[in-house]
Formats: sequence, structure tokens, C-alpha cells
Amino acid sequence: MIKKIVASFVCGVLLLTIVATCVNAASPLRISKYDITKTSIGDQIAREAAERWQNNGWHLKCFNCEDLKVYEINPADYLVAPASAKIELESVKQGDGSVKLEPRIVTASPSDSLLGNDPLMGTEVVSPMATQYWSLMAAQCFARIEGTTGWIDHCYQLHKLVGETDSQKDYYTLTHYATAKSKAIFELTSAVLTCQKYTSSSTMEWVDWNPRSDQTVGQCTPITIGISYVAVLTYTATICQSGWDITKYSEAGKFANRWYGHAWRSEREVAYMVCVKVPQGGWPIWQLTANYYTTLYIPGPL
Amino acid sequence: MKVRWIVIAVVVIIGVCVSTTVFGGNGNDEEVSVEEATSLLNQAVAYAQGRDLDKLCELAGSKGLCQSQWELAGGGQAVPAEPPEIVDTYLLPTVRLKWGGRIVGGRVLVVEGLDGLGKPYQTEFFVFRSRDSGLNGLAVTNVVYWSGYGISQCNEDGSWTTALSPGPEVE
Repeated sequence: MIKKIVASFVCGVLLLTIVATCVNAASPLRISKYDITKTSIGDQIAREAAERWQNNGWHLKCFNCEDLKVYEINPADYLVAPASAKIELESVKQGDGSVKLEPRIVTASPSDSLLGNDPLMGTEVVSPMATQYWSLMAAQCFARIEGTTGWIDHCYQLHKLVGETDSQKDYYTLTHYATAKSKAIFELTSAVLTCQKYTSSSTMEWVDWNPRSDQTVGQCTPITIGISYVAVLTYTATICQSGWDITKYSEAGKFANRWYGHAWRSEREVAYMVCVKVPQGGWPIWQLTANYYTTLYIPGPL
Repeated sequence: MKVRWIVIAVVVIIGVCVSTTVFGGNGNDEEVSVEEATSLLNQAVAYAQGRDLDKLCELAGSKGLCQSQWELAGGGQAVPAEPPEIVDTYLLPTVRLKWGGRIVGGRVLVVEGLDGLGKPYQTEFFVFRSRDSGLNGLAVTNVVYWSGYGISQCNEDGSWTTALSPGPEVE
């Protein structure tokens, strides 16, 4: 009798485990399920997208479109993305109660070998729907900030989402990135970039930001960050140990990312992207800062 | 015992002073001439047309930003076939910061042309003095001269901002 009870209990536990495993395995929305690249319409969409991006001044390396994937994520709602892009789908409940799938780019795991060899690395080339894409509005670098112990160079790109259907708002993404280095007998311990809405800017509302969380790495490796609101925009940097430490503020458009670690006379990068919406016809202006911190370099034991 | 620590402290202080002055001090404030800047631009053109990214980025203030800009501009296939035209040049002043640092000034060459894919570009090729990066005491920001990047100093109130208005390049 006891044997039967124990056997029933074990079977029950096994059954529950199997069910739970199946449920867990089924829960992530696999984008491959929506892949229509090899259909005639998928091929046509990929070719048109590549041509359109080229006409818009983007320099695709995949003119034969073999490196592009086309997904129909909702009826007649297409996503065109580099084959190497890591994308997840999220179910988003709409105002009318219906559920719509929305793509989200995944901040690349530093160990993700796909991204290290991404043929589209560092380019903004992805767009769902034929007429929606991020258009470059401004690109600037700033003159070097330098002291006796180190320096930091920083740049930004500002993109506007073209072709979105929001009649009230315009959407913009700021990509802010930098390289810092220590001098002489000093070592770099952190490099910090921040942004916040400038006083004369149009009102901002949060849409998205990336990295979404702190990143810790063991060695220098490429990392891709991205914004995927309607269309996808990516930037690839190199992240080195110890990692990046983000601060996302509730104030729209205010964000900070800090590289931290120890680097003696070796360059370190830090980058982030923020996406905001402004009243239609408005213009977002961010106040930016870039700083580095150093300390006396004391060599460790050989 | 106290004397020993005092000697160590003095040696460290002298070491820091000598190190920062000799090896790591700020570059000098001598203006970058048009000839010096043009010479670097010519070198950049030669390296770019030879698709020698390593050599091109040796001219840059920051190798990481140079490599990033190369990719963002479209990689090797976007390198212009023809050298750029210098349409303007001006000096960007050095700005002293309250904490003792500075924002490094230098010479801007405004260059124009068509990139390797036939897209027109206008870039601000910025040459500044640096003991720590670049070649022979000079370094370049926006060494990828077909990238379309501008160069900015801080605003009058000491802040850095993104573009204050959409500008003529907006579609």
C-alpha cells in the first residue's frame, strides 16, 4: 500500500515537472515561427527594404538580401531585420482589449558570437512596415575633454522615427557614446555619460532606453544595444571589465551609463540609447555630460 | 621611521609631477595651421583609399570612435573614390574648465565630397594637438572624413547639448 502511495506521488511529481517544462518551453514567443523570408512576398519585402535603405543613405552590406530576415509578426505587419539580430516578441494588450505582438531587440549578451560578426554591426538598418524607419537627423562629436590624468571623447547621433502613425507625437532616439583613457601613471576607474532634457527642449515622454540593466563582463567584447520602437535602431560598442552601470531616471529623457573598472593607458568605451516622444513638430534637445575618473596606477604582482 | 615615510611621500609627489608634466600633460596651445591639418587629411585619404583601417585610426584621437565611425559610415565600400574638397576652415578655441581640465581646441577643415556609394557628405575634420594620441603630436576627431559628423564645443554656459534646432539637413 505504502509502495503504491509512494509510486503515485513520484508519478504525480514527474507529471507536474513534465507539464511545467512544456509550459515553460512554450512561453517564449519564437520569432522563427513568423519567418516568411523564403516566401515570394518575403523576398520582395527584403529587396524593397534594402533598396529603400540604400536610397536613404544607409550603407547595407547585404545588397543580395541574404543577410536579411522578414517576419510577419501581425497580419500585414512585417519586420525586416538582419539575420543575426536577436529579437524577441512580446504580447502587448491594446486599448481595445486585443493582443498585438511587438518586437523587442535583445541587448546582446557579451558572449553572443553572432553579434561580434554581425555584417550590419553598428548600422541602423531595420524597419518593420515599408515606410517606417529611423532617419538620421544629426551626428556630432565634441572636442576632447582633457586633464593631466586622462581624457574622454564623446559623440552622439539623433534619429527621428519616420512613417509612424501617431498623430500627436514625434519619436526620437539619442545614441550617446564615448571613449576614455588615462595618461601617464594614472589608471582609469570610470567613464560616465549622462543626458537630460535641456531647458529649451520640447516636452519629452519616455518610450524606451538601452541598456536596460547593468552589464558585467570578464573581458573586452562587443555589445550591441538597440531601440526597437516600431523600427529597430542599433549601436555596437566594446564593453570591458568590470562593466557598465546604468541609472534610469523617472524624468523623461534622463539617463546615465558608467563604465567602471581598472584600465591603465588603455581605451574604454561607454554608450547608451534613449528614445522619447515629443509633441508633433517639436524638437528634443538633450544636455549631455561626459566625465572620467582616474587614480594613481599601482601595478599588481606579475 | 617618520623620515622614511616623508622620503617616500616626496618621491611619489615628484614622480607624479614629472610624469604628468613630461608624459601626460596637456598638449600645448599653439594653433594648428591649415598646412598641418591638410597634411593629416592627405594621410587620412591615402589610408582610407588603401582600406587600411588600422593606419587610418592611428591618426585618430580615439581608435574606438574611429572604428565605430568607419562602420557607421558604411565600412570599406563607402570610402570615397575621390579626395574631399576643403570648403572652409576655422579654429575652435580651447576652453578652460573650472576643475583644471580643458576642452581641447584645434583646427577644423570642413570637407565635402561623394562617398563610395554616391551619397554626398559634409564632415568637420578636426585636428588638435595631443601628446597622448594620434601621430607626431597631432590627432584627429572625425578622421573618417566621409562620415558626415560635425564637431562641437560646449555652449556659452559651459554645457554640451545636442543640436539646438533641426538644421537644414533635416529631411
